[in-house]
Amino acid sequence: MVLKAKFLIICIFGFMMLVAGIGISSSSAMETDDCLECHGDSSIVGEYLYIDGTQFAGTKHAEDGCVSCHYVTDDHPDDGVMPEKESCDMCHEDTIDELSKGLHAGNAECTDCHDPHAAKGLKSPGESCGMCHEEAVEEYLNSPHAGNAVCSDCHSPHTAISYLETSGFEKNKQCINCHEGAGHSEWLLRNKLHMQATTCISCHTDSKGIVITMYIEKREDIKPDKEGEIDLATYQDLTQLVGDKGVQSLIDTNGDGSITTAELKEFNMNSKYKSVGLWGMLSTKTASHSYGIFEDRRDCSFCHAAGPKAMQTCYVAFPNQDGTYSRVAVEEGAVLDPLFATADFYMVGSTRNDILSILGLLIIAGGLGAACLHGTFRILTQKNRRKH
Amino acid sequence: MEKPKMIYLNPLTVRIWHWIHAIGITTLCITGAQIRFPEYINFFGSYRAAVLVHDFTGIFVCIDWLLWFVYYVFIDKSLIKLYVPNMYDLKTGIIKQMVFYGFNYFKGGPNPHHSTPDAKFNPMQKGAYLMIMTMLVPIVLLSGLLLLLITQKWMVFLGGVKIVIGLHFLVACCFAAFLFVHMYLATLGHTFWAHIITMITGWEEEVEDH
Repeated sequence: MVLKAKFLIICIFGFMMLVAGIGISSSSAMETDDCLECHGDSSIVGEYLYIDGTQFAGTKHAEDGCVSCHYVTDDHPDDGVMPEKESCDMCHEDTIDELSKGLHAGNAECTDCHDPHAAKGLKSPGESCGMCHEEAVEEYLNSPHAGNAVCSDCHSPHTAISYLETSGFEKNKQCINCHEGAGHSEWLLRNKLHMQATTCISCHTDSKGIVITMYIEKREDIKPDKEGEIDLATYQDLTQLVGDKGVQSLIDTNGDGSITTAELKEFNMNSKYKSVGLWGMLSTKTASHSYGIFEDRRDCSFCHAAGPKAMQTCYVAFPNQDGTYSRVAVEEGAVLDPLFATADFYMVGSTRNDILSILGLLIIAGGLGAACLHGTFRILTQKNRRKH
Repeated sequence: MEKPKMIYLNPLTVRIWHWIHAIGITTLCITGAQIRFPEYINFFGSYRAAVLVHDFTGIFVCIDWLLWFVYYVFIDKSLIKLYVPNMYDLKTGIIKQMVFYGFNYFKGGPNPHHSTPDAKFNPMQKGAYLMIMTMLVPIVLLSGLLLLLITQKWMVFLGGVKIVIGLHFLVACCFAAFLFVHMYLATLGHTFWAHIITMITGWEEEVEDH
């Protein structure tokens, strides 16, 4: 009798364990193939929930299976429970962290740009970036550049920072990634200088309006092999110079959010700051995606014959702690100062100083005038010399 | 009719560097004007052409200046004798010459200076040429070379590119002014062409004052 009761208890326990075991395994036993039985057929689940099984098989996500992101019970879809929405940060924590610091934080979700079920993952520019940046994408797709690169080849969507917060050198790096050694030296004089003092997009987009941005560069220990290289000072470098007053106080001494010619001169002539200096770079007023080769840019006078009045808009870009830059506007005309305001930035023809020009012309007029004056008296007194 | 007495004033070497300098500096002034004022001046078609001509001419004039320096200092050894004003020049020579150009020339008076191979220049010329050849030419050529090479270390050392370019421009203007004065004074020989012919043939007609 006792034996029978023991046997019954074991059987009941065994049955319960079996049921529980099936229950446990049933909640995680849903395989990708099981999911695709329904989700691979749009006539069953509709277009929105349809997954192209062949495409998905080519993704890294396929190795993890559907349930690694979409947790469902074995009774799905009969249990009536909507699967949880995918959570990318379970695996891509660092990227999500990056995203949270950029401009896209709060404005775009991973799936706005990525299709986790597709082999390449990234949606086309029109489907991803174009959803929000319609005008830019349209402009870009109409440019000759369109067939050669997608948005993310130049822009990192995870660390998205604005056009104005990016240094000109950083902008150029994106172009150099593909166009290293671009053949400017065949026709462009002072090639290296132009490359260091101009953003590629100044010539290779049809953006209207040029501005000058001054970056703070380190000038200590210029090694012979680094001669001519621009080494930008970081936030930390400048903090060492100005302490906790904020890096902008290096030049904007009165802290009014704008920089006068006098403040620039004071900075340039301050021996305390001789380890740093200003390096000017041309850039466009606004960003444009109409990339191409514009023949009129090969004519030097496109920039150099613009005349002094064209080069008036100038900024100083200060580095921020996170590597971005904050621009502070400079008083109009500072770039045309004859000597110390922008001591190291000069564009022949375009940033000439009018006072120096007048002084030079007076010197020439002096020589010409002396010759003309003497010549006039010479003609008037011709008779005197004939007598002798 | 008695043949005029001729003296060999300017050897071939001197004439060659003189004309290279003359053409070079004139070209540099014209191209320089286009480079600084491109929206007003266009002698060379394109801005690029003006810059290229300016660069190559500048290098050529640099080499020519070096030849001049080596010739007068090491070969002919006449730099001091010909170019440096002596005590007489400083005390009375310069004043006499200034009085001649300012007054006596108009009255038909004689030139106090007579050129010979050993004293080619009058005291005013000596002072002007000494300053031009040993100060202004080196300044404009060195600043030009710096602008051509844009070596950051030197630019920073000299106080920035604007100081270098300002100096280059003002000294170049002095050369332009000098060109006008020089060309005019070249016509003040005993005939309009006398000095100019001398600088072509090397021979000058000796004129005796009556």
